[in-house]
Amino acid sequence: MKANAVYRKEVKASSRSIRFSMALMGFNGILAAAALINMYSLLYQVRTTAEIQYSGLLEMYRIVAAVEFALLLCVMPAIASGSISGEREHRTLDLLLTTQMSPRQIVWGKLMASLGDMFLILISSFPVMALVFVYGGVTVKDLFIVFLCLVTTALMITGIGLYCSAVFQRTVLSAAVSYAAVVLLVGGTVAANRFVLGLSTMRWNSYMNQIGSVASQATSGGFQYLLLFNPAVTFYSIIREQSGSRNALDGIAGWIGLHSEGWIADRWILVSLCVQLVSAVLLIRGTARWIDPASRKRRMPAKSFWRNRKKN
Amino acid sequence: MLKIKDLTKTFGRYHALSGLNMEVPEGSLYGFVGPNGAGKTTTIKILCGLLMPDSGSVEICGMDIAERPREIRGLIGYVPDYFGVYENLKVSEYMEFFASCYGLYGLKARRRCTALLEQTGLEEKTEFYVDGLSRGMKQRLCLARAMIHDPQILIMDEPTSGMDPRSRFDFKEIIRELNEQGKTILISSHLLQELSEICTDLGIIEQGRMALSGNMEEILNRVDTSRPLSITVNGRVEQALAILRSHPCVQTISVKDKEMMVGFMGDKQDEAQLLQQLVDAEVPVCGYSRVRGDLETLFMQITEKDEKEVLIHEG
Ligand SMILES: Nc1ncnc2c1ncn2[C@@H]1O[C@H](COP(=O)(O)OP(=O)(O)OP(=O)(O)O)[C@@H](O)[C@H]1O
Ligand SMILES: [Mg+2]
Repeated sequence: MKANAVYRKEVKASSRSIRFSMALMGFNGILAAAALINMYSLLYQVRTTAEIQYSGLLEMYRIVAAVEFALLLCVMPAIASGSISGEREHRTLDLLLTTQMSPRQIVWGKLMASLGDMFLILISSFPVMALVFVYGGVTVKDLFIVFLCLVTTALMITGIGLYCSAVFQRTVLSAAVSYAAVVLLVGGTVAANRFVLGLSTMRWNSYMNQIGSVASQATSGGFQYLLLFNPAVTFYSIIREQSGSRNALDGIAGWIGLHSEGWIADRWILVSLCVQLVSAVLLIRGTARWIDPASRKRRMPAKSFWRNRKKN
Repeated sequence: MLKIKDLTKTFGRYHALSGLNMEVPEGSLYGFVGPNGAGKTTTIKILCGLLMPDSGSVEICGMDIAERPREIRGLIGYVPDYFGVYENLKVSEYMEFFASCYGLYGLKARRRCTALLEQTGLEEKTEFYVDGLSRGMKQRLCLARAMIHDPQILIMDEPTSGMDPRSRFDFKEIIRELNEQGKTILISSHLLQELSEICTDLGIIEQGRMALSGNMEEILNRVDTSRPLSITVNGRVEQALAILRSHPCVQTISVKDKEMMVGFMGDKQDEAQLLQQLVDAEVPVCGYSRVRGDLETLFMQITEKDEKEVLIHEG
């Protein structure tokens, strides 16, 4: 079984470009800086108080993991959002489509290339992550679950990036929309919950004023399930759970009005990982469908589609 | 080999193709000519499976394009009217990449690439970056790329646009050679003259319809018969005129010194017979030929006529 042709080409071409190496260096630089600053403050504390605080070490693990997560959120859209539109800009997409490669194989190759970059990022950050093992407190299982979450997140964001790059003609536009989508996913879902919770609290308050009780009953209702799509919430829950919280959602439940009980809430991490994986798969299949000339009878670039709409 | 029947394609309300019929015989070098916006590129994209037609059928090697697109893609080599090149790949890598897209790997692929690059005269450029090639070289590289899977049909969309006369000539030589090796070639252009030198068959498309198509020779003949016969004599003009006037095929005669332009409605046999008559009457004929049919004029006639028709319809 030979490796996907598009994937092999991507690897070869990107190994020649300095961009990715620079990004990798920047990524690990930031990560290492975060870890080292934290370690320094820890040691400083030891020197002044002669006490080692194990909670401080755990803190470092959390910070390093969070920085890694945040960087991944920032880097993945950039990697993925040029995949298809880049081919289009080089005018090679049509050439690829006339070969024996099916649209699915083309998208698969692009996906592998993006994920390859992601694994390189993750693996290259292992030395920094390994710092947290020096003092113990974190198990390999913990790290594995975090890794799983990072991979799922990357997959979903790659899916978004690929889809945008298929829909939009220009890489610039595709990247902008991908980032907007990520912001919406991470910030928008939380904001929506906060908003609905605010409305609900107001209602409860006016109701409770008559009865004279505290407004702790307010929730954001069905909106909370939007958060299943939010990788940041999943990540936060995982870290919370690993820090010994009884329920993964405790930390944010009050803040954004989650029911922290119920079938889904009890399995929040698992369910949200699955939801995100499924969205990733759907997005990737959607990408292949979008570029397949045969699947869309009136295949028109988005631009001329609008032009024609206006004309009619 | 390639049969198109009643093909239509609309973009919004614009009819790019309205009932195109076309037939490309096996082993032919088919010139596909039409003015800008006639629908050449649209047709070619449909053939390559990059566009779906609204209606009509396309058959290639007996297979319907809608039913077995994958097999058909293996039979077609497509040279678009632009180059699709990557910045970060060398010529050899570029070729090997497309080879692997067709499932050709390793030594087999490399041999094929080398052979094709040699055939297109790029053997010295294998270590160059694709982006750094000149226009003509890129065009030849695109041709080599399209041949990588040894397709039966080569479809080229305005391949010679933007080339200097020298590369044009070289390019045509390569095409001719490929055709002699048995490849069916469809080549589109808006320059008729250029194609008329090499093509065996011709189709003229106009506003999404085939305006004229057929074997090159037949078309040229058709053009020829509408052209005058030019006869030059060295004396005895009166006698020649007398013979000409009595000939049934002759319709008009205009004399300028010793050169006569004769409107002649007849085939080659009639031409030969007329010459025989003149020689028998001891007219010193020193020039006898059809004024060469100019395809360009025919092209203009066809497109002009259509424009008039359109005007009549509208008015
Ligand atoms: N994607 C599209 N959206 C809308 N209209 C289109 C599209 N592609 C082609 N057309 C229209 O279809 C008509 C035929 O275009 P086509 O590209 O086939 O012409 P052509 O014969 O290749 O012309 P040229 O010699 O300029 O290359 C044109 O009028 C063009 O405006
Ligand atoms: Mg064209």
